[in-house]
Amino acid sequence: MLKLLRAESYKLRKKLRSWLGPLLIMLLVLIAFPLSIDISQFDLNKFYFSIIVVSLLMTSFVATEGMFEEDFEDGSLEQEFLVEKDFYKIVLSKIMIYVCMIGIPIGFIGSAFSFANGVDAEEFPKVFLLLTLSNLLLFNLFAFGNALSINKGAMLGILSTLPLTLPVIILLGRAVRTIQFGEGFFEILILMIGISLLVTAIMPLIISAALKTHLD
Amino acid sequence: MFNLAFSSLNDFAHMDGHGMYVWPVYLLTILIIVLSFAAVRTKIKNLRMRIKNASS
Amino acid sequence: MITAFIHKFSSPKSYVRVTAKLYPFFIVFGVSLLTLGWVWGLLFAPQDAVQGNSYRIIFLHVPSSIFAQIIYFFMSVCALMHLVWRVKLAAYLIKAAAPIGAMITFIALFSGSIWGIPTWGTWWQWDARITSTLILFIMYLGVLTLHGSFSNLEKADRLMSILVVVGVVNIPIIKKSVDWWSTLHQPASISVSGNTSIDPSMLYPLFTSVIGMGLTLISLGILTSHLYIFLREKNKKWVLKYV
Repeated sequence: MLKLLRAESYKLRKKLRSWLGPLLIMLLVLIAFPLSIDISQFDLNKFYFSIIVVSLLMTSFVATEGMFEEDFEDGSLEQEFLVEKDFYKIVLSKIMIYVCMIGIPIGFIGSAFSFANGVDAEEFPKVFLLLTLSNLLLFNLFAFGNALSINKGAMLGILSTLPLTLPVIILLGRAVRTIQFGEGFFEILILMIGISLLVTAIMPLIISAALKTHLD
Repeated sequence: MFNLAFSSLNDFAHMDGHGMYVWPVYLLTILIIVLSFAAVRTKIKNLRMRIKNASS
Repeated sequence: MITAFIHKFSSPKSYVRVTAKLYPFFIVFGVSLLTLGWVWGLLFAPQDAVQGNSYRIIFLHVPSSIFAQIIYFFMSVCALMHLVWRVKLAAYLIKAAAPIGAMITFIALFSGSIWGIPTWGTWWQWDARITSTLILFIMYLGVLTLHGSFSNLEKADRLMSILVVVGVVNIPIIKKSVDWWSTLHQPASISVSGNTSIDPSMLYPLFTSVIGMGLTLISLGILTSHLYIFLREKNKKWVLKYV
Protein backbone atom coordinates (compact mmCIF):
# COMPACT_ATOMS: atom_id res chain seq x y z
CA MET A 1 0.00 0.00 0.00
CA LEU A 2 2.85 2.39 0.88
CA LYS A 3 4.50 1.59 -2.44
CA LEU A 4 1.27 2.46 -4.25
CA LEU A 5 0.93 5.73 -2.35
CA ARG A 6 4.49 6.70 -3.23
CA ALA A 7 3.93 5.80 -6.89
CA GLU A 8 0.69 7.79 -7.08
CA SER A 9 2.19 10.84 -5.37
CA TYR A 10 5.16 10.72 -7.77
CA LYS A 11 2.79 10.51 -10.77
CA LEU A 12 0.69 13.42 -9.54
CA ARG A 13 3.70 15.57 -8.69
CA LYS A 14 4.95 15.15 -12.25
CA LYS A 15 1.60 16.28 -13.70
CA LEU A 16 1.77 19.93 -12.69
CA ARG A 17 -1.41 20.81 -14.56
CA SER A 18 -3.39 18.24 -12.60
CA TRP A 19 -2.61 19.48 -9.11
CA LEU A 20 -1.76 23.14 -9.59
CA GLY A 21 -4.61 23.85 -11.99
CA PRO A 22 -7.44 23.23 -9.51
CA LEU A 23 -5.71 25.31 -6.82
CA LEU A 24 -5.33 28.23 -9.19
CA ILE A 25 -8.95 27.93 -10.32
CA MET A 26 -10.08 28.01 -6.69
CA LEU A 27 -7.97 31.13 -6.08
CA LEU A 28 -9.25 32.80 -9.24
CA VAL A 29 -12.92 32.23 -8.42
CA LEU A 30 -12.56 33.39 -4.81
CA ILE A 31 -10.73 36.54 -5.87
CA ALA A 32 -12.96 37.27 -8.87
CA PHE A 33 -16.25 36.99 -7.01
CA PRO A 34 -15.99 40.02 -4.69
CA LEU A 35 -14.49 42.08 -7.50
CA SER A 36 -17.35 41.29 -9.86
CA ILE A 37 -20.14 42.19 -7.49
CA ASP A 38 -21.03 45.62 -6.19
CA ILE A 39 -22.10 45.02 -2.60
CA SER A 40 -20.93 46.09 0.82
CA GLN A 41 -18.50 44.05 2.92
CA PHE A 42 -21.29 43.36 5.40
CA ASP A 43 -23.49 41.75 2.73
CA LEU A 44 -20.54 39.84 1.30
CA ASN A 45 -20.15 38.04 4.64
CA LYS A 46 -23.66 36.65 4.30
CA PHE A 47 -23.13 34.61 1.17
CA TYR A 48 -19.43 34.29 0.63
CA PHE A 49 -19.57 30.70 1.83
CA SER A 50 -21.81 29.67 -1.04
CA ILE A 51 -19.09 30.84 -3.45
CA ILE A 52 -16.53 28.76 -1.58
CA VAL A 53 -18.83 25.74 -1.76
CA VAL A 54 -19.53 26.15 -5.51
CA SER A 55 -15.84 26.70 -6.33
CA LEU A 56 -15.06 23.61 -4.24
CA LEU A 57 -17.41 21.59 -6.44
CA MET A 58 -15.85 22.98 -9.63
CA THR A 59 -12.27 22.44 -8.51
CA SER A 60 -12.99 18.90 -7.33
CA PHE A 61 -14.37 18.12 -10.77
CA VAL A 62 -11.39 19.68 -12.54
CA ALA A 63 -8.93 17.97 -10.18
CA THR A 64 -10.29 14.48 -10.84
CA GLU A 65 -10.74 14.95 -14.59
CA GLY A 66 -9.00 12.16 -16.47
CA MET A 67 -7.92 10.54 -13.21
CA PHE A 68 -7.80 7.08 -14.71
CA GLU A 69 -7.68 7.98 -18.40
CA GLU A 70 -3.92 8.20 -18.83
CA ASP A 71 -3.29 4.95 -16.99
CA PHE A 72 -6.04 3.25 -19.02
CA GLU A 73 -4.74 4.51 -22.37
CA ASP A 74 -1.08 3.55 -21.78
CA GLY A 75 -1.95 0.14 -20.31
CA SER A 76 -0.48 0.76 -16.86
CA LEU A 77 -3.90 0.27 -15.25
CA GLU A 78 -4.03 -3.23 -16.69
CA GLN A 79 -0.44 -3.88 -15.54
CA GLU A 80 -1.25 -2.74 -12.01
CA PHE A 81 -4.34 -4.96 -11.97
CA LEU A 82 -2.24 -7.98 -12.98
CA VAL A 83 0.24 -7.25 -10.16
CA GLU A 84 -2.26 -6.34 -7.42
CA LYS A 85 -5.10 -8.65 -8.57
CA ASP A 86 -7.41 -6.04 -7.12
CA PHE A 87 -8.13 -2.44 -7.98
CA TYR A 88 -9.27 -1.49 -4.49
CA LYS A 89 -5.83 -0.54 -3.13
CA ILE A 90 -4.86 1.27 -6.34
CA VAL A 91 -8.05 3.36 -6.35
CA LEU A 92 -7.89 4.07 -2.62
CA SER A 93 -4.26 5.20 -2.81
CA LYS A 94 -5.03 7.40 -5.84
CA ILE A 95 -7.93 9.10 -4.08
CA MET A 96 -5.91 9.55 -0.86
CA ILE A 97 -3.03 11.18 -2.74
CA TYR A 98 -5.41 13.47 -4.60
CA VAL A 99 -7.05 14.50 -1.31
CA CYS A 100 -3.67 15.11 0.36
CA MET A 101 -2.08 17.00 -2.52
CA ILE A 102 -5.12 18.85 -3.86
CA GLY A 103 -8.03 18.51 -1.44
CA ILE A 104 -6.26 19.72 1.70
CA PRO A 105 -4.68 22.78 -0.02
CA ILE A 106 -8.11 23.63 -1.50
CA GLY A 107 -9.60 23.37 1.99
CA PHE A 108 -6.89 25.65 3.30
CA ILE A 109 -7.44 28.24 0.55
CA GLY A 110 -11.20 28.17 1.10
CA SER A 111 -10.89 28.60 4.86
CA ALA A 112 -8.32 31.39 4.43
CA PHE A 113 -10.70 33.27 2.14
CA SER A 114 -13.66 32.82 4.47
CA PHE A 115 -11.50 34.13 7.29
CA ALA A 116 -10.60 37.09 5.09
CA ASN A 117 -14.32 37.82 4.69
CA GLY A 118 -15.38 38.27 8.25
CA VAL A 119 -15.35 34.78 9.73
CA ASP A 120 -13.59 34.71 13.14
CA ALA A 121 -10.07 33.35 13.36
CA GLU A 122 -11.23 30.76 15.89
CA GLU A 123 -13.67 29.36 13.27
CA PHE A 124 -10.80 28.71 10.85
CA PRO A 125 -10.18 25.07 11.99
CA LYS A 126 -13.92 24.31 11.75
CA VAL A 127 -14.17 25.65 8.19
CA PHE A 128 -10.96 23.86 7.19
CA LEU A 129 -12.27 20.54 8.58
CA LEU A 130 -15.59 20.89 6.77
CA LEU A 131 -14.01 21.78 3.45
CA THR A 132 -11.48 18.95 3.67
CA LEU A 133 -14.15 16.38 4.51
CA SER A 134 -16.30 17.67 1.64
CA ASN A 135 -13.33 17.36 -0.68
CA LEU A 136 -12.86 13.76 0.42
CA LEU A 137 -16.50 13.03 -0.44
CA LEU A 138 -16.45 14.93 -3.72
CA PHE A 139 -13.19 13.35 -4.89
CA ASN A 140 -14.64 9.90 -4.26
CA LEU A 141 -17.79 10.72 -6.22
CA PHE A 142 -16.01 12.38 -9.14
CA ALA A 143 -13.49 9.52 -9.25
CA PHE A 144 -16.49 7.22 -9.66
CA GLY A 145 -17.72 9.36 -12.56
CA ASN A 146 -14.30 9.19 -14.15
CA ALA A 147 -14.16 5.43 -13.75
CA LEU A 148 -17.51 5.08 -15.52
CA SER A 149 -16.65 7.31 -18.44
CA ILE A 150 -12.86 6.66 -18.44
CA ASN A 151 -11.97 7.78 -21.97
CA LYS A 152 -15.38 9.00 -23.14
CA GLY A 153 -14.86 12.55 -21.92
CA ALA A 154 -15.31 14.28 -18.60
CA MET A 155 -18.83 15.52 -19.37
CA LEU A 156 -20.23 12.01 -19.34
CA GLY A 157 -18.69 11.43 -15.92
CA ILE A 158 -20.07 14.64 -14.52
CA LEU A 159 -23.56 14.00 -15.92
CA SER A 160 -23.50 10.62 -14.21
CA THR A 161 -22.25 11.80 -10.84
CA LEU A 162 -23.34 15.41 -10.44
CA PRO A 163 -26.68 14.30 -8.97
CA LEU A 164 -24.76 12.35 -6.33
CA THR A 165 -22.62 15.35 -5.39
CA LEU A 166 -25.50 17.75 -4.85
CA PRO A 167 -26.59 16.15 -1.54
CA VAL A 168 -22.98 16.64 -0.36
CA ILE A 169 -23.27 20.34 -1.23
CA ILE A 170 -26.59 20.59 0.62
CA LEU A 171 -24.98 18.96 3.67
CA LEU A 172 -21.98 21.29 3.49
CA GLY A 173 -24.27 24.30 3.22
CA ARG A 174 -26.11 23.12 6.31
CA ALA A 175 -22.80 22.58 8.12
CA VAL A 176 -21.60 26.08 7.22
CA ARG A 177 -24.82 27.53 8.67
CA THR A 178 -24.00 25.90 12.03
CA ILE A 179 -20.72 27.87 12.06
CA GLN A 180 -22.49 31.09 11.10
CA PHE A 181 -25.16 30.66 13.79
CA GLY A 182 -22.82 29.09 16.35
CA GLU A 183 -24.72 25.90 17.24
CA GLY A 184 -25.00 22.29 16.11
CA PHE A 185 -21.55 22.17 14.55
CA PHE A 186 -20.33 19.14 16.47
CA GLU A 187 -23.32 17.01 15.44
CA ILE A 188 -22.94 17.91 11.76
CA LEU A 189 -19.20 17.26 11.96
CA ILE A 190 -19.76 13.77 13.37
CA LEU A 191 -22.29 13.10 10.60
CA MET A 192 -19.84 14.27 7.92
CA ILE A 193 -16.99 12.22 9.37
CA GLY A 194 -19.22 9.14 9.42
CA ILE A 195 -20.41 9.65 5.84
CA SER A 196 -16.84 10.36 4.65
CA LEU A 197 -15.48 7.18 6.25
CA LEU A 198 -18.30 5.11 4.80
CA VAL A 199 -17.93 6.56 1.31
CA THR A 200 -14.12 6.25 1.40
CA ALA A 201 -14.42 2.59 2.38
CA ILE A 202 -17.11 1.64 -0.14
CA MET A 203 -16.49 3.88 -3.16
CA PRO A 204 -13.09 2.37 -4.13
CA LEU A 205 -14.85 -1.04 -4.32
CA ILE A 206 -17.47 0.36 -6.68
CA ILE A 207 -14.83 2.20 -8.72
CA SER A 208 -12.83 -1.04 -8.97
CA ALA A 209 -15.88 -2.83 -10.36
CA ALA A 210 -16.29 -0.09 -12.98
CA LEU A 211 -12.59 -0.22 -13.95
CA LYS A 212 -12.66 -4.02 -14.20
CA THR A 213 -15.61 -3.72 -16.60
CA HIS A 214 -13.51 -1.52 -18.88
CA LEU A 215 -10.63 -3.98 -18.86
CA ASP A 216 -12.75 -7.10 -19.51
CA MET B 1 -69.43 11.73 -3.32
CA PHE B 2 -70.64 11.91 -6.94
CA ASN B 3 -72.13 15.40 -7.08
CA LEU B 4 -70.86 17.49 -9.95
CA ALA B 5 -68.44 20.12 -8.69
CA PHE B 6 -69.30 22.52 -11.53
CA SER B 7 -72.65 23.89 -12.67
CA SER B 8 -71.81 24.27 -16.37
CA LEU B 9 -69.27 23.29 -19.01
CA ASN B 10 -67.98 26.85 -19.05
CA ASP B 11 -67.45 26.70 -15.29
CA PHE B 12 -65.65 23.40 -15.69
CA ALA B 13 -63.32 24.83 -18.35
CA HIS B 14 -62.69 28.04 -16.41
CA MET B 15 -62.37 26.47 -12.89
CA ASP B 16 -62.62 29.88 -11.17
CA GLY B 17 -59.57 31.14 -13.02
CA HIS B 18 -57.46 28.04 -12.32
CA GLY B 19 -58.36 26.34 -15.58
CA MET B 20 -55.34 27.89 -17.31
CA TYR B 21 -53.11 26.01 -14.89
CA VAL B 22 -54.97 22.71 -14.69
CA TRP B 23 -55.82 22.07 -18.36
CA PRO B 24 -52.38 22.59 -19.96
CA VAL B 25 -50.89 20.15 -17.44
CA TYR B 26 -53.43 17.42 -18.14
CA LEU B 27 -53.38 17.97 -21.90
CA LEU B 28 -49.59 17.90 -22.09
CA THR B 29 -49.44 14.74 -19.99
CA ILE B 30 -52.01 12.96 -22.14
CA LEU B 31 -50.12 14.06 -25.26
CA ILE B 32 -46.80 12.78 -23.89
CA ILE B 33 -48.25 9.41 -22.89
CA VAL B 34 -50.11 8.91 -26.19
CA LEU B 35 -47.05 9.93 -28.24
CA SER B 36 -44.86 7.54 -26.21
CA PHE B 37 -47.16 4.61 -26.90
CA ALA B 38 -47.43 5.55 -30.58
CA ALA B 39 -43.67 5.93 -30.98
CA VAL B 40 -42.88 2.57 -29.36
CA ARG B 41 -45.57 0.71 -31.31
CA THR B 42 -44.31 2.23 -34.60
CA LYS B 43 -40.73 1.25 -33.77
CA ILE B 44 -41.79 -2.32 -32.95
CA LYS B 45 -43.74 -2.55 -36.21
CA ASN B 46 -40.75 -1.26 -38.23
CA LEU B 47 -38.36 -3.58 -36.42
CA ARG B 48 -40.62 -6.59 -37.06
CA MET B 49 -40.70 -5.72 -40.78
CA ARG B 50 -36.92 -5.35 -40.86
CA ILE B 51 -36.40 -8.69 -39.12
CA LYS B 52 -38.91 -10.40 -41.44
CA ASN B 53 -37.23 -8.93 -44.54
CA ALA B 54 -33.79 -9.88 -43.29
CA SER B 55 -34.80 -13.49 -42.60
CA SER B 56 -36.71 -14.04 -45.88
CA MET C 1 -33.10 -22.67 -5.49
CA ILE C 2 -33.45 -18.91 -5.92
CA THR C 3 -30.73 -18.90 -8.58
CA ALA C 4 -32.48 -21.72 -10.47
CA PHE C 5 -35.78 -19.82 -10.30
CA ILE C 6 -34.18 -16.61 -11.54
CA HIS C 7 -32.44 -18.32 -14.43
CA LYS C 8 -35.58 -20.23 -15.43
CA PHE C 9 -37.84 -17.19 -15.62
CA SER C 10 -35.35 -14.57 -16.68
CA SER C 11 -34.88 -15.58 -20.27
CA PRO C 12 -35.96 -12.83 -22.66
CA LYS C 13 -37.98 -15.39 -24.62
CA SER C 14 -40.21 -16.44 -21.71
CA TYR C 15 -40.48 -12.83 -20.55
CA VAL C 16 -41.76 -11.69 -23.97
CA ARG C 17 -44.19 -14.62 -24.15
CA VAL C 18 -45.68 -13.99 -20.69
CA THR C 19 -45.84 -10.20 -20.92
CA ALA C 20 -47.37 -10.23 -24.40
CA LYS C 21 -50.33 -12.11 -22.89
CA LEU C 22 -50.58 -9.71 -19.92
CA TYR C 23 -50.22 -6.53 -21.95
CA PRO C 24 -53.91 -6.18 -23.00
CA PHE C 25 -55.08 -6.44 -19.37
CA PHE C 26 -52.60 -3.84 -18.18
CA ILE C 27 -53.39 -1.34 -20.92
CA VAL C 28 -57.18 -1.71 -20.68
CA PHE C 29 -57.32 -1.56 -16.88
CA GLY C 30 -54.64 1.10 -16.70
CA VAL C 31 -56.25 3.52 -19.12
CA SER C 32 -59.73 2.84 -17.68
CA LEU C 33 -58.70 3.45 -14.07
CA LEU C 34 -56.63 6.49 -15.01
CA THR C 35 -59.55 7.96 -16.94
CA LEU C 36 -61.92 7.16 -14.08
CA GLY C 37 -59.57 8.73 -11.52
CA TRP C 38 -59.03 11.88 -13.54
CA VAL C 39 -62.69 12.35 -14.50
CA TRP C 40 -63.69 11.75 -10.86
CA GLY C 41 -61.07 14.17 -9.62
CA LEU C 42 -61.70 16.87 -12.20
CA LEU C 43 -65.47 16.72 -12.34
CA PHE C 44 -66.78 15.33 -9.05
CA ALA C 45 -64.22 15.99 -6.32
CA PRO C 46 -65.14 19.13 -4.35
CA GLN C 47 -63.12 22.32 -4.50
CA ASP C 48 -60.33 22.67 -1.96
CA ALA C 49 -61.02 25.23 0.79
CA VAL C 50 -57.58 26.85 0.50
CA GLN C 51 -56.27 26.14 -3.01
CA GLY C 52 -59.54 26.27 -4.94
CA ASN C 53 -59.60 24.26 -8.16
CA SER C 54 -55.85 24.35 -8.81
CA TYR C 55 -55.43 21.44 -6.37
CA ARG C 56 -56.92 19.15 -9.06
CA ILE C 57 -53.39 18.89 -10.49
CA ILE C 58 -52.80 16.57 -7.52
CA PHE C 59 -54.47 13.70 -9.41
CA LEU C 60 -51.66 13.89 -11.94
CA HIS C 61 -48.75 15.26 -9.93
CA VAL C 62 -48.83 12.78 -7.05
CA PRO C 63 -49.03 9.61 -9.20
CA SER C 64 -46.21 10.86 -11.42
CA SER C 65 -44.01 11.74 -8.40
CA ILE C 66 -44.64 8.34 -6.84
CA PHE C 67 -43.77 6.46 -10.02
CA ALA C 68 -40.74 8.63 -10.74
CA GLN C 69 -39.22 7.10 -7.62
CA ILE C 70 -40.71 3.60 -7.95
CA ILE C 71 -39.31 3.23 -11.48
CA TYR C 72 -35.81 4.11 -10.25
CA PHE C 73 -36.19 1.64 -7.38
CA PHE C 74 -37.27 -1.02 -9.91
CA MET C 75 -34.21 -0.17 -12.02
CA SER C 76 -31.95 -0.59 -8.99
CA VAL C 77 -33.41 -4.05 -8.22
CA CYS C 78 -32.82 -5.04 -11.86
CA ALA C 79 -29.31 -3.59 -11.65
CA LEU C 80 -28.53 -5.74 -8.62
CA MET C 81 -29.87 -8.82 -10.43
CA HIS C 82 -27.70 -8.01 -13.43
CA LEU C 83 -24.57 -7.42 -11.37
CA VAL C 84 -24.97 -10.37 -8.98
CA TRP C 85 -26.63 -13.06 -11.11
CA ARG C 86 -25.63 -11.76 -14.58
CA VAL C 87 -29.25 -11.76 -15.73
CA LYS C 88 -29.19 -9.96 -19.07
CA LEU C 89 -32.98 -9.50 -19.10
CA ALA C 90 -32.51 -7.27 -16.04
CA ALA C 91 -30.21 -4.98 -18.04
CA TYR C 92 -32.75 -4.85 -20.87
CA LEU C 93 -35.45 -3.86 -18.36
CA ILE C 94 -33.28 -1.05 -16.97
CA LYS C 95 -32.74 0.30 -20.48
CA ALA C 96 -36.48 0.07 -21.18
CA ALA C 97 -37.52 1.66 -17.86
CA ALA C 98 -35.09 4.60 -17.90
CA PRO C 99 -36.81 6.67 -20.63
CA ILE C 100 -40.21 6.04 -19.00
CA GLY C 101 -38.79 7.15 -15.66
CA ALA C 102 -37.33 10.28 -17.24
CA MET C 103 -40.66 11.06 -18.91
CA ILE C 104 -42.71 10.65 -15.73
CA THR C 105 -40.19 12.66 -13.66
CA PHE C 106 -40.46 15.47 -16.22
CA ILE C 107 -44.26 15.32 -15.90
CA ALA C 108 -43.92 15.46 -12.08
CA LEU C 109 -41.59 18.49 -12.27
CA PHE C 110 -43.73 20.27 -14.87
CA SER C 111 -47.04 19.66 -13.09
CA GLY C 112 -45.51 20.64 -9.74
CA SER C 113 -44.14 23.88 -11.21
CA ILE C 114 -47.48 24.83 -12.76
CA TRP C 115 -49.31 23.96 -9.51
CA GLY C 116 -46.88 26.15 -7.57
CA ILE C 117 -47.85 29.32 -9.47
CA PRO C 118 -51.42 29.76 -8.15
CA THR C 119 -50.71 28.03 -4.83
CA TRP C 120 -47.41 29.50 -3.64
CA GLY C 121 -46.91 32.31 -6.14
CA THR C 122 -43.73 30.70 -7.49
CA TRP C 123 -43.12 28.10 -10.18
CA TRP C 124 -39.81 27.06 -8.66
CA GLN C 125 -38.36 26.91 -5.16
CA TRP C 126 -35.00 25.48 -4.22
CA ASP C 127 -36.37 23.30 -1.48
CA ALA C 128 -35.24 19.76 -0.80
CA ARG C 129 -38.08 17.79 -2.42
CA ILE C 130 -38.29 19.76 -5.67
CA THR C 131 -34.48 19.84 -5.99
CA SER C 132 -34.21 16.12 -5.27
CA THR C 133 -36.80 15.38 -7.98
CA LEU C 134 -34.77 17.51 -10.41
CA ILE C 135 -31.68 15.55 -9.37
CA LEU C 136 -33.61 12.32 -10.05
CA PHE C 137 -34.46 13.58 -13.55
CA ILE C 138 -30.78 14.33 -14.21
CA MET C 139 -29.91 10.84 -12.94
CA TYR C 140 -32.26 9.25 -15.47
CA LEU C 141 -30.60 11.31 -18.22
CA GLY C 142 -27.17 10.29 -16.90
CA VAL C 143 -28.10 6.59 -17.04
CA LEU C 144 -29.37 6.91 -20.62
CA THR C 145 -26.34 8.95 -21.74
CA LEU C 146 -23.89 6.54 -20.12
CA HIS C 147 -25.44 3.53 -21.81
CA GLY C 148 -25.57 5.28 -25.17
CA SER C 149 -21.86 6.19 -25.07
CA PHE C 150 -20.51 2.67 -25.38
CA SER C 151 -20.61 0.60 -28.55
CA ASN C 152 -19.92 -2.56 -26.52
CA LEU C 153 -23.44 -3.13 -25.15
CA GLU C 154 -22.48 -5.72 -22.52
CA LYS C 155 -19.97 -3.28 -21.03
CA ALA C 156 -22.57 -0.52 -21.24
CA ASP C 157 -25.09 -2.72 -19.38
CA ARG C 158 -22.67 -3.37 -16.51
CA LEU C 159 -21.60 0.28 -16.15
CA MET C 160 -25.22 1.41 -16.29
CA SER C 161 -26.14 -1.12 -13.57
CA ILE C 162 -23.29 0.10 -11.35
CA LEU C 163 -24.44 3.71 -11.78
CA VAL C 164 -28.08 2.84 -11.02
CA VAL C 165 -27.15 0.95 -7.83
CA VAL C 166 -25.00 3.84 -6.59
CA GLY C 167 -27.67 6.41 -7.52
CA VAL C 168 -30.43 4.67 -5.57
CA VAL C 169 -29.12 6.39 -2.43
CA ASN C 170 -30.89 9.51 -3.73
CA ILE C 171 -34.34 7.91 -3.35
CA PRO C 172 -34.46 7.88 0.48
CA ILE C 173 -33.08 11.41 0.44
CA ILE C 174 -36.09 12.47 -1.65
CA LYS C 175 -38.45 10.47 0.58
CA LYS C 176 -37.18 11.92 3.83
CA SER C 177 -36.38 15.41 2.58
CA VAL C 178 -39.73 16.82 3.68
CA ASP C 179 -39.06 15.59 7.22
CA TRP C 180 -35.36 16.47 7.43
CA TRP C 181 -35.51 20.02 6.13
CA SER C 182 -38.30 22.56 6.76
CA THR C 183 -39.24 23.70 3.31
CA LEU C 184 -41.94 25.28 1.20
CA HIS C 185 -43.29 21.92 -0.10
CA GLN C 186 -46.32 20.68 1.78
CA PRO C 187 -45.68 17.74 4.08
CA ALA C 188 -46.88 14.32 2.97
CA SER C 189 -50.68 14.26 3.22
CA ILE C 190 -50.87 10.52 2.84
CA SER C 191 -48.95 8.11 5.01
CA VAL C 192 -48.75 4.33 4.83
CA SER C 193 -49.44 4.08 8.56
CA GLY C 194 -51.19 6.70 10.59
CA ASN C 195 -53.55 9.56 9.82
CA THR C 196 -54.11 10.93 6.38
CA SER C 197 -54.97 14.61 6.17
CA ILE C 198 -56.76 14.49 2.80
CA ASP C 199 -60.56 14.18 2.58
CA PRO C 200 -61.97 10.82 1.26
CA SER C 201 -63.77 12.60 -1.59
CA MET C 202 -60.32 13.57 -2.88
CA LEU C 203 -58.44 10.54 -1.60
CA TYR C 204 -60.40 7.90 -3.56
CA PRO C 205 -59.92 9.51 -7.02
CA LEU C 206 -56.28 10.02 -6.08
CA PHE C 207 -55.79 6.32 -5.30
CA THR C 208 -57.63 5.40 -8.50
CA SER C 209 -55.32 7.71 -10.48
CA VAL C 210 -52.24 6.22 -8.82
CA ILE C 211 -53.27 2.65 -9.66
CA GLY C 212 -54.33 3.66 -13.20
CA MET C 213 -51.06 5.48 -13.81
CA GLY C 214 -49.12 2.50 -12.51
CA LEU C 215 -50.87 0.01 -14.80
CA THR C 216 -50.52 2.37 -17.78
CA LEU C 217 -46.80 2.78 -17.15
CA ILE C 218 -46.39 -0.99 -16.76
CA SER C 219 -48.03 -1.49 -20.15
CA LEU C 220 -45.74 1.14 -21.69
CA GLY C 221 -42.81 -0.59 -20.00
CA ILE C 222 -43.85 -3.94 -21.49
CA LEU C 223 -43.93 -2.40 -24.99
CA THR C 224 -40.58 -0.65 -24.55
CA SER C 225 -38.94 -3.75 -23.13
CA HIS C 226 -40.23 -5.83 -26.05
CA LEU C 227 -38.75 -3.30 -28.46
CA TYR C 228 -35.39 -3.35 -26.73
CA ILE C 229 -35.31 -7.15 -26.42
CA PHE C 230 -36.07 -7.55 -30.14
CA LEU C 231 -33.31 -5.04 -30.93
CA ARG C 232 -30.72 -6.82 -28.79
CA GLU C 233 -31.75 -10.38 -29.62
CA LYS C 234 -32.72 -9.88 -33.27
CA ASN C 235 -30.31 -12.55 -34.49
CA LYS C 236 -31.75 -15.24 -32.25
CA LYS C 237 -33.99 -17.96 -33.69
CA TRP C 238 -36.80 -17.38 -31.20
CA VAL C 239 -37.12 -13.73 -32.30
CA LEU C 240 -37.38 -14.74 -35.95
CA LYS C 241 -40.02 -17.32 -35.05
CA TYR C 242 -41.90 -14.91 -32.75
CA VAL C 243 -41.94 -12.10 -35.28
